[in-house]
Amino acid sequence: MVFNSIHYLFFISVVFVLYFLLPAKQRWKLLLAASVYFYCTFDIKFLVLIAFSIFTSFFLAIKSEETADESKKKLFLHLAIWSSALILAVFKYYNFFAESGTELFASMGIAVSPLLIKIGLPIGLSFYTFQIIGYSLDVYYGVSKAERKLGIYSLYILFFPKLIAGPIEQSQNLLPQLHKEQNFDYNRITSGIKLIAWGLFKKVCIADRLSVFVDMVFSSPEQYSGLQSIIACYFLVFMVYTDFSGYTDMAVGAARIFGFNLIRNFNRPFISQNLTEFWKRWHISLYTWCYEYIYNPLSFNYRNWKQWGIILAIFATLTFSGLWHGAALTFIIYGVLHAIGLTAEYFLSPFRAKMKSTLPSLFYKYVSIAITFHFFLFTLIIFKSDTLSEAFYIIESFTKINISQFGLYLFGDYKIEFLLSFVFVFALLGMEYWQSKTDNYLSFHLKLPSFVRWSAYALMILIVVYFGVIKSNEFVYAQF
Amino acid sequence: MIKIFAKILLFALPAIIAVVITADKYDNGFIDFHYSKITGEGKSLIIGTSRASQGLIPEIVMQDTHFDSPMLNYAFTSYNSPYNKEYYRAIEMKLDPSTKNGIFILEIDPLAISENENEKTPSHLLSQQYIFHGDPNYEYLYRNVNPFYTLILRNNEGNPNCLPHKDGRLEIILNDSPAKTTERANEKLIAIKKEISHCKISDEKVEWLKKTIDLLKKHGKVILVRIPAWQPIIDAENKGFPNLNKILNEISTTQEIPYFDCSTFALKYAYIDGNHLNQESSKLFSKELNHLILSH
Repeated sequence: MVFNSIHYLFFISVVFVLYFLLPAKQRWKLLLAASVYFYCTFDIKFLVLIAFSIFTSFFLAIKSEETADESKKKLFLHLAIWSSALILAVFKYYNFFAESGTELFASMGIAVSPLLIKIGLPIGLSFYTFQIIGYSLDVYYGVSKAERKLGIYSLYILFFPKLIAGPIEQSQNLLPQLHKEQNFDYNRITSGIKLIAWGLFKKVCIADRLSVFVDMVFSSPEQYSGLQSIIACYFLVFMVYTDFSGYTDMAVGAARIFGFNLIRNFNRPFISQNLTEFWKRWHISLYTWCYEYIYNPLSFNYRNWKQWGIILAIFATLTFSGLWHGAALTFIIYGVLHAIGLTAEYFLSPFRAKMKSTLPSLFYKYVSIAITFHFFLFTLIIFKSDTLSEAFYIIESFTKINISQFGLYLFGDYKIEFLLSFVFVFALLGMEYWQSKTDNYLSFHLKLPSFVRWSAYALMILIVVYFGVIKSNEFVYAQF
Repeated sequence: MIKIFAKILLFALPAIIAVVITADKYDNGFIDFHYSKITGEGKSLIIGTSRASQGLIPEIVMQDTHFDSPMLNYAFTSYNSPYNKEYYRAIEMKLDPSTKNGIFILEIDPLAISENENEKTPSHLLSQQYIFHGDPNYEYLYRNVNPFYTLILRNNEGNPNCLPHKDGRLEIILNDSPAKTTERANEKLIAIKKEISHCKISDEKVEWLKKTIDLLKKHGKVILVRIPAWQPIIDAENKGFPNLNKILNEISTTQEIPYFDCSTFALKYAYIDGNHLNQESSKLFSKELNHLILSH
């Protein structure tokens, strides 16, 4: 049951009605039941796995908090982390390492026949596993108190708006909210609905539209010219952004309807002037998690190594985050490239400071934005490609362009879709710019007259219904 | 709460009106191979794959019979309508519950009751469909014309290679020169042989075939038929699925329904691509089937 389906629309409508008909104290139970149902619509057999992870982490966190013995505390922590992490490792990475090992042995002349696991990846596994690990660490370090109600803790993990592709919620944010009784707040609910509509627009009008051309080119790059490949690469950036941020908007909007504030996962990443800033604006929940639980501990533990300790922490964090996306060399290299970029930024910071003070501010700003954007674009090409050779083939096409050949004919039957893509992407960027002028996400429009607002809402729905591309595939990040 | 739903409905109204007006105005051209099966109605049905979709003409099959009419050709493709839970549901939803004396032709193509060991069975075309009646069928149009505004761009134009009839039958119009026909037949034979090499009869699909028969028997007479194809293709199927006729004969006996193995008539007919009867042969075979029905 994906977010952009009639089934989900019906589901959330029913849950919404029942939620506010129930007494406030009972509402969390409905959300828990709805979340279990939501998960089962993907694959009921994996419910056992997530239940196991929930039960073990719940009880081990309590045990960890209750004991004063430091070694026992550590034991419970490790059990909590590894009981979930091993499941993730087996389902997500076992086949990759088994096949890689086989290739390595084959290169040494040793024939090995690996036992591969032929079972799908449980939906949301990467996301909820990280949430569980983060929670276990928070309890161990005393950042959060262990949750004593199994039902509330289960809801914290299973909460359906964020279950399949995040945001990865930290315990300090969501758990306390689950204990509060949520009232019927008309403005909050309508704000959530608007956010869902906006996310849906991003997904079906932009992401799925761009993906038609992107998938065509990336699946057979040799059939397309350099210019077509380059345009596909630019489309790729906006496709991934609108797919993931669209999903996040729908998740945050759905949670808001029920009275919960989830972490914002994107904050206009394409205005970043450097990679450090970029990673504070892109997939914020993942990088917050990595920063809190990998970078900080490593940089602290290796602080005696001075700058090399920081570099080690950067490489470990970014490589790990690349690997988090999946068991493929391209994902690892994606992470490593960003680590190299951040390290270069670290060493070049005096030079950049000098440039900033020397050059005209607007020039410096926009050149920085362009460099950061294109660095991300190149790494995304590797991220998207199935193999490195495919990625290099596409990157090589950047050297084979002839701007004079640009024309709508390049897009064949995709011409109108190409023009619509441009219009919608510019509309998106314009809206984000306009919305950045206010503190509240999407609330700037409340200052407009009612007639204008209502017309805009109707127009939005008309655009989504009329121009939306309905694809049966899921959101890009749900596969991680 | 009511205010929220009322407002959503109000804001969605222009979009709903736009969809309805567009569908009403622009659904007269070629939509896809299957739209006429959704908008058409029939008390009697032809069920099966593309061989039946193209090869059986309802009007001719029903001629002089006493069964409830009209007949709708509700056969899709072996890819889109193998005998399974989803096709069963689609048949159940399409069935006119008032039918008491219908006739239901179940065409059996071995690929419709087999499974490919390398591929997961794809979802049926109609697995997400809720509304199976109505012309225009707004839900089908919205689901399958994507993005929806492209319906206007089609401008009610037909398809030079494909003519879907109101009775659900699909007429494919291709270059019928002997050279082209032979070329297509040879390509089809290679493709079918390759497919067969990875397939085996599926117990699950055979069970769903039986369930489909049980469902349809409540509304009239059920007939199993194997439609002829180019002899080399039939030979490949018989070789790849040596138990096929045994299975079908067993079903025929236990379910007490007739089974007409017309694959033995392969040499009597001509085919557009080896797999599907051409126009003239469709008429002839439909007549042949009509005679078999009348004489049984």
